[in-house]
Amino acid sequence: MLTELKDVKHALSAMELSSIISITNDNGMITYVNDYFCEISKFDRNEIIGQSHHTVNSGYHPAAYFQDLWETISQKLVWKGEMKNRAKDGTEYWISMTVMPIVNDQGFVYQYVSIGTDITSRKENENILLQTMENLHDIENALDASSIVAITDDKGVITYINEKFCEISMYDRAELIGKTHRIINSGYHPKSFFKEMWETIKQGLVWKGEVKNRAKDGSEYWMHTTIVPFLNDDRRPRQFISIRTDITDRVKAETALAERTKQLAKAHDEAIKANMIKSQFLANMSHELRTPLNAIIGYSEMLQEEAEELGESFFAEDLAKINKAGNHLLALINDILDISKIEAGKMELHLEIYSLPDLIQDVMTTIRPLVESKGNKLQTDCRDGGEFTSDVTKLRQILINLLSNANKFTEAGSIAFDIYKEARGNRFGFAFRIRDTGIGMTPDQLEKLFQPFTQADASTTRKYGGTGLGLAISQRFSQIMGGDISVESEFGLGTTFTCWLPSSPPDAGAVEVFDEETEALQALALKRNSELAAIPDVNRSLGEDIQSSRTLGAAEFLVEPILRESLIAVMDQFAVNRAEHTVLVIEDDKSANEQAARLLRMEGYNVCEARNGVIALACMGRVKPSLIVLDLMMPGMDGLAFIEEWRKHDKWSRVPVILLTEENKAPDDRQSNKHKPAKGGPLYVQDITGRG
Amino acid sequence: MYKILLVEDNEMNRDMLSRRLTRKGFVVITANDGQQGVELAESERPDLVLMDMSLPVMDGWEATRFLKSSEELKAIPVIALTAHAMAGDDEKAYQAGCDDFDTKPVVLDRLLNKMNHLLTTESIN
Repeated sequence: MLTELKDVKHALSAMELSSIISITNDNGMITYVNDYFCEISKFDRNEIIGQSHHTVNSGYHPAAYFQDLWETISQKLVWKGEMKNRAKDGTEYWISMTVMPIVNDQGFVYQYVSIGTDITSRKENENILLQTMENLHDIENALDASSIVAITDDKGVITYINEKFCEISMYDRAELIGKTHRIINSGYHPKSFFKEMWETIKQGLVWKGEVKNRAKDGSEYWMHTTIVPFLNDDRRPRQFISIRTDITDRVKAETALAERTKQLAKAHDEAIKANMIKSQFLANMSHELRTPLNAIIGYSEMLQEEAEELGESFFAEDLAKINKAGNHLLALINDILDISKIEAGKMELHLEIYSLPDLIQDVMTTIRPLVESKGNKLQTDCRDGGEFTSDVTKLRQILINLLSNANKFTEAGSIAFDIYKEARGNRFGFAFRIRDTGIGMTPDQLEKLFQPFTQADASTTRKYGGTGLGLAISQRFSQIMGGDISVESEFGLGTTFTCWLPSSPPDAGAVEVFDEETEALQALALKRNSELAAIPDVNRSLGEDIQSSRTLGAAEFLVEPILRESLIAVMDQFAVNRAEHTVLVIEDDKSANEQAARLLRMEGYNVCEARNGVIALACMGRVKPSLIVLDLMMPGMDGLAFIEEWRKHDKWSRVPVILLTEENKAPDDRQSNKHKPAKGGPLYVQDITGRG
Repeated sequence: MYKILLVEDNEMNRDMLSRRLTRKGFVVITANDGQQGVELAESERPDLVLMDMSLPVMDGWEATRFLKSSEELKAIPVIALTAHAMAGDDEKAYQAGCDDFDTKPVVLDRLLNKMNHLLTTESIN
């Protein structure tokens, strides 16, 4: 018995240490608490004795919870439960509690013993776990709502699929569970595709890819698929979760785009091929038509001769008609070939320098018999002669076309052919004006004038003949050469055609040393610069680009870069370190000046500008340029007058001067030796054709 | 009287041009293809050859190359006479060895000028 008591004592003291113990009387008033109770509740014992358990109530549990407790223990039953309490400092703690009613000898409950253990940390873990599970659940919901999800075992047998999987595959869940993904295989991908996928996920790695699947009804859909292996403790996959999104629309759009691109490439190839076929066709057509025409023209001409010899003028007239018709057909063929070449962008310019009076003479020889046959008078005024850079064959064709047109529509009238210099914009050039006193045109007729195959109207063709291509060709030729044809006409009174061409087309080797004016250069004590001599070659290599850009209407396109290249080439010899030198640019033309000055500034030179020679001389002392860039075309004091004046100043005369000029203007201004400088530094001449 | 060899496969054109040249005082012999042309050049030794280019059996370019490679025949001037009038066709003829080039339809005066030029040059040589 004693032993038992002793054991109880030990048990009680062990319990005292491990448990939170309190005793309340039947009124609910605390009569005893152990040290652990005090420790966890952070109340002193004297603060708690005599109080009720309400002191540590956290307010977490509803009243019914305590009611249940009281009802249980009132019935002399033991209550077990978990209770969240609040300590004195406000912190909360959970205890697992056992409340035992103690009954006295009379059978009444006289007090309650409450024994609890601290389960705060367990509760916290529980909460975290609960929260985590809730989160996971949310994720699962979100995943299910957004993606097509399937889970398979390590063999690939489907163990779970979500609703979306069923929707897109059109299979019921029951049809899929227990099957492999082979059921939705479209057969599109090679075996190696899936082999690679399995090798990846079996290693425990995530696989991503785009897979084409087939639904139950045979329709196909594209999935962006991510397969994540879930690993065992031994790092081997125990199951796989696949998350898929529908990319059918995107893949379809991509496929359509690829197809479209392919079609376009094919269309492009076909267009090129068609163009080649067209060219070949034109060559063949030309050949095939010329052969019978040769017979028609040849026989008719021969028979006409014979008929005339035999005095058969009646036959001769008809044979002349056949011959004329044959020649008309030939003209048509030639014009069609021209138009085709223009439209194909194959028309090439063959530029040469030639004498304008010679060309006019040549054209007049051709056209005069025609003019006389119609009883018309032709007067020519070529007041500005000289040399001209152009494609002579094309210019001759234009002039003959315009003149024969004027003649065609004029009866016993007069045609005036005037050639004169005319600047347009900042470009110098020549105008070829042809005025007739013929039938003229209405505004309607004028509008359609330069379109191929449109003469003024159908009756015109009947009455006057012609291919209807001549003006269209002439206009295109002019444009290719950097000019154009304009027309004025008054119905019944006559027509004026003006063909204007730049004095040298932009691609006529836009910058050149004056080869033909070497003598003039020597007279000026100039020496030719070996650097400059190489420049025309550069230009020629650029020629094609210039031509194509100009065909697009960009007449001045390459003038500036070429100006820059050649100018810099010369400049570099005198002003090696650009920033250290001051360059005086003397030029009056505002746009040109701005261009040259801007260009040099952009190249890093210190640029000072003067509007004319007088201003330049006035500022020489102040500016002290290392180099002068001088335009020969200046009002006030012209360039050479400036040089003459400038050479008089000894200290300035060693400053090199680069002359800018336009080819066609230059000879007049430089022919005189009176400007010959007596002494001085080198003088370099830079020609900027196409700028004029 | 100059003897002209006209190599031309088109019957009408052959007839027409040979008659016209005859009227102008030439002796004209004709061949229907390049092969025949070469054979006639060897046997007849004409003063000048008018060579069509698109010919059966042996074309004009090949026939010209043959004539110009022969020591005995290469002095005979050859004028290419062709309906190939596109850019580059003349260059092709010159490369084959033709001395001059003219296009069909024939403009008789133009052709006669070219012929006379070559014939007189040759006789000077």
